Amino acid sequence: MPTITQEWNNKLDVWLIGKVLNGNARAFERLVQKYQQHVYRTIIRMVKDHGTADDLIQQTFIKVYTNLDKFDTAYPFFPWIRRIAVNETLNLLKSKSEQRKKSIESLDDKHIPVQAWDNPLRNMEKKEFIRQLERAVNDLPLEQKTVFILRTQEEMSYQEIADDLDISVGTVMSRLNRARCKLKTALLDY
Amino acid sequence: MNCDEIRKSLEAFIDDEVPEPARQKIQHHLTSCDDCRKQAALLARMNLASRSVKVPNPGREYWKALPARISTQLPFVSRKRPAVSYRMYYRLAAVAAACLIIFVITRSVHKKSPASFTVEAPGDRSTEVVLKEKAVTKKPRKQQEEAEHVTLERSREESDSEMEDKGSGAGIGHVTDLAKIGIEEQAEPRLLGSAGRGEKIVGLDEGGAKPESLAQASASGLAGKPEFLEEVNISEPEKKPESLADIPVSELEGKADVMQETTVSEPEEKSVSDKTDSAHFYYHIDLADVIKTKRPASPSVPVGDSAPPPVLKNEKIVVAADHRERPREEIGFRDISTRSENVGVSPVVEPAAVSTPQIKILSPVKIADAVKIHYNLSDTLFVLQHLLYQPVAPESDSGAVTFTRLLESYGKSELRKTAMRIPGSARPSAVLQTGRLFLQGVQKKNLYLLQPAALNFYQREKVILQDSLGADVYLQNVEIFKAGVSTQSPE
Repeated sequence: MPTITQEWNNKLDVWLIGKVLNGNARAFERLVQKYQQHVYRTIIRMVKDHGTADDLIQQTFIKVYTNLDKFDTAYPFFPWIRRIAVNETLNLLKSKSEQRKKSIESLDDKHIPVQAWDNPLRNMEKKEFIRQLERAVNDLPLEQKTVFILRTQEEMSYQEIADDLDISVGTVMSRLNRARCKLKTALLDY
Repeated sequence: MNCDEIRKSLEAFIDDEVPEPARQKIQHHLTSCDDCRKQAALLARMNLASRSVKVPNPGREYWKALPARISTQLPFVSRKRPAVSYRMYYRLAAVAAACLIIFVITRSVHKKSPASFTVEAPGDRSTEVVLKEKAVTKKPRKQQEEAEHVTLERSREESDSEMEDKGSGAGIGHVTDLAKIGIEEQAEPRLLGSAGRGEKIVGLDEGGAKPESLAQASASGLAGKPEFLEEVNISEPEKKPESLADIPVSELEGKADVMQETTVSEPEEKSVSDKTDSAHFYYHIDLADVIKTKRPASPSVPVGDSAPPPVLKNEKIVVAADHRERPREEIGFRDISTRSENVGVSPVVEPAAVSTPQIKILSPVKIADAVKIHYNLSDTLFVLQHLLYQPVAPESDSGAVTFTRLLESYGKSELRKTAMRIPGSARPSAVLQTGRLFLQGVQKKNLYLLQPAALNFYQREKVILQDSLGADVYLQNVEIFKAGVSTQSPE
């Protein structure tokens, strides 16, 4: 059940989309402003490189704009944008497979949250665990990695992932399962 | 269920994708099986760790610049008008207003006079001549000249019979003389003194001199190029109302089911909805347009059952539906949203339609209370922005109490701090100012919810608040409602 805030946001989106379709450039800037951070997070989690993410976010919104008339306003707007973002990212990553190996080097401590743990040792353990997980996720095949990130970081449901990637829920589950098996192996020491 | 079956669905269990009966079975199994519990814990830990990975934030400047960078690459940019500053808009609006004033003055002068006009000829004789503008159909020149000649001859005969003194060369001999001095000599008959209705022409314009007065000039421009002069009787053209104010309320009654958008400054586009209630009349303004248009003097507020609705010049007016038979509590967001959907000018806000139990409320006060309880302060403020523009009957408890409660609950400083946190709210004092102006309006029992002073304030200060996701929801996107031209309460 959508919350009252979600209701408002959806209505606001519909209104802004209407304005954009009537040629209002400022309304589209508002839409970009509204969703840019969400889209960026989705993209950067997959590409791990700001430059690439910057290119992708621009491509995504341009595609959103050009296809806006095809958007069905009966549905929420963000999943639609996210779907475009994920597809754009996957297309890029497929064409540039070397990008997949780039992330580990760019990872540093500042990206790993330091929780307010009482025990510094556990804190370090956790940071190390997260770092290892990141490496392992990065080494996953693109399809498995995408599904894993969308599920665990974007917190999308199986159905949403299936819709976004145009695959079945069963495929989502099998890819997740294979990804987790590999991750378990990689994190065996932890 | 054995361990193999459990482990097959363990991932789905951790991902909250298992339906309830199976979920309970798995939970039950996990309490008794250490191996499965460890597996589940590892999966949960992976999920948690993956979720904990933070993404780098490119910084505020990046987010600020990105929309503009993207918009420069969009196809519409090339179609976009050149960037014009708000100052430029104001200048253009001022010029437009000046033109409008001239137009209105000219028209009002014309309206006061009869449809015919008098040509005052030398010799103290005057003859009523009425111009009839014929549809301009290009005839062959020769045929045209013949037609002119026939007409002039006829005019000459008629005028001759009226004339006693032909030798004076005055009067409308005048038409004859006109023919002599101008029309026959010129290929096309000149329309001399073809002023608008009621304009007096002092002296005939021999030899095609330029019109001497503004009335002459403008009227000749307005009259177009009549093909010839003809004495006819034309009735007063049906007077069209220039603004909503000109439409009698009695005509509006029972006419507004679906509201339609209308612009006051453009009478031909105006339409009035089918069922407008004079006793409880709503309209709203798309402030996004108002901001770009300099507002003329504040409108006078007619009060009384028979008074027409007030009209704000240069602003879009939307006539709303009749709410007379509905309880006031139901007039809230639902109606606004319906109207908004109809005209497509504003986001739809429809709390009454949300079936979340704690939000199933109707009165604005309760909405605010519920939001305050179940949502954060930003959302409460967001609701407040809407509440401030609800149609309010002075005797009813509405946003005033809500705002007071908000102040009591959060305190002024907290309200300010929160306003600071709302993206784009560079002026937190505006939030408090909003409330203050609103309270003043209600205390004065003025049925205008938004005082002209408040409107001016917002325009001057360019107050823009944004929702928690950073989109403008206030003033530019939310229409401003003004309620009630009558002293009757909506009930």
